[in-house]
Amino acid sequence: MDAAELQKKIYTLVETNMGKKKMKSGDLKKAMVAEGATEEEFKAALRELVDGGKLVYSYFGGSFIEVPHTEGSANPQQ
Amino acid sequence: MSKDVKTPMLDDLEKGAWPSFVKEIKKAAKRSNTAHDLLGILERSYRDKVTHWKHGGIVGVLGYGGGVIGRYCDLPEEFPGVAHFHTVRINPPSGFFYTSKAMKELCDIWDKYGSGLTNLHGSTGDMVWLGTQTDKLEPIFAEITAKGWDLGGSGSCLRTPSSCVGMARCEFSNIDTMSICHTMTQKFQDELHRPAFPYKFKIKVSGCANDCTAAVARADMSIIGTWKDNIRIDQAEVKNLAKSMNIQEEVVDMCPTKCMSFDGSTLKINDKDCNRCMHCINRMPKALRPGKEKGATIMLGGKAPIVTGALMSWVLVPFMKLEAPYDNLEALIRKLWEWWDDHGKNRERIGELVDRMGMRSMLEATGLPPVPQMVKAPRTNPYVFWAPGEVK
Repeated sequence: MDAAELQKKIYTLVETNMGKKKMKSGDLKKAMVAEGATEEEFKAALRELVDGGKLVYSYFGGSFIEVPHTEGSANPQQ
Repeated sequence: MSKDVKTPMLDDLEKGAWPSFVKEIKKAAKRSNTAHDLLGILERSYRDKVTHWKHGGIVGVLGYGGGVIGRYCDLPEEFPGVAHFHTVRINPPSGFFYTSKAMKELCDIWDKYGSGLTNLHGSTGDMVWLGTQTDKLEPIFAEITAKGWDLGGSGSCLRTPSSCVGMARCEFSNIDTMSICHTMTQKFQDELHRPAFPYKFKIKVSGCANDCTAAVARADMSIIGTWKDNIRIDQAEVKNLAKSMNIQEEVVDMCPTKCMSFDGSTLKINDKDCNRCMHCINRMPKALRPGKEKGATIMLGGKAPIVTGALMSWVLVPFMKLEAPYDNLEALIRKLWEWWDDHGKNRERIGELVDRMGMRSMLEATGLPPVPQMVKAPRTNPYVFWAPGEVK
């Protein structure tokens, strides 16, 4: 699968699930493999998205992938 | 810095013979707002009997999904110095050996950007830096990486592998624990920094069954150095030791498998019954030595009670020869991860998955043969069942 297309699919999946379901890396991988990507292609695409700051890792009792946003629980920097 | 607060409950913890963490925080508080307000919020938590920390969220450095643990307090106006109190995990050298120069460099970075409070080492094995703000994380990361250091693991990833001091300082070590730890850290950089697992996975390497890293209780994969052939006995030294110790009571009677006998001058060991527990070698290190055919027992499933109860690791591979670059170990770990990734639920450790799905599923996925050593305890169901097609 084309790298740019794969990145777009991953981003869209995360974005459309925001507020409904927190997506784990494994969830995304299974969805993208089902769409025809290889595991290596998925890893590379996710890495590009995270390294570029379009997606971020978060921790809420486990690690998830999210679109960057200001957290409600985060205190303003003093 | 918030106004001075009285800390009668913390002050009480300075009494007694043991070194007090309160004393150390008070010392740091003389030059750090963060440490100063830490005293205040801690006293408040003790008084209110609730924590005032909020845990988790999106805090870290660009590209990494681990290494920083986000902490905020719920009283930021009252204690502004700990409005942010993030923890930074630094991946330590294998065996925890530092030069004093390296230690000074790290401490200088931490004094510059954080509270100055450290924890050497956290239970994962990382050097833990306690208390910094979000905008300091990237500068910290830039400075530590410029000095050749890296962040450790946190979240649903491979946690920083750790090892005992191994052959560097211990004559009992049957494997090069430091080399294994370092090699696994290098091989699994992606799994360490980009959380992709159902939950955390810990690897700890101990050179012998004394298990100085407590791998069996704390690691999902416990790698324990052992030997396959016979314990080496120096009978002359046995006779010598018999003059100063009661070999029958202190060694033979304490053997868990009762595989030893001593007639007053000669010590005999039935090595087929020996479970390599190290007790006799610990008691008579001059007379007894591990055998020459060395390797490791690979165990799986140890964990502390977080989501479900605690588990101790159990034997997966009774004996594996471990020589650099440890491709056989890497292949086994990757197969286990693949199976866990396919079947694990969110926050399910690999040992819990084996309990839920059974050994057969895991053995089929890894290609490991079922062996008697996999039975957790005598006279219990080994939960290894044959598929109908496998029965002849």
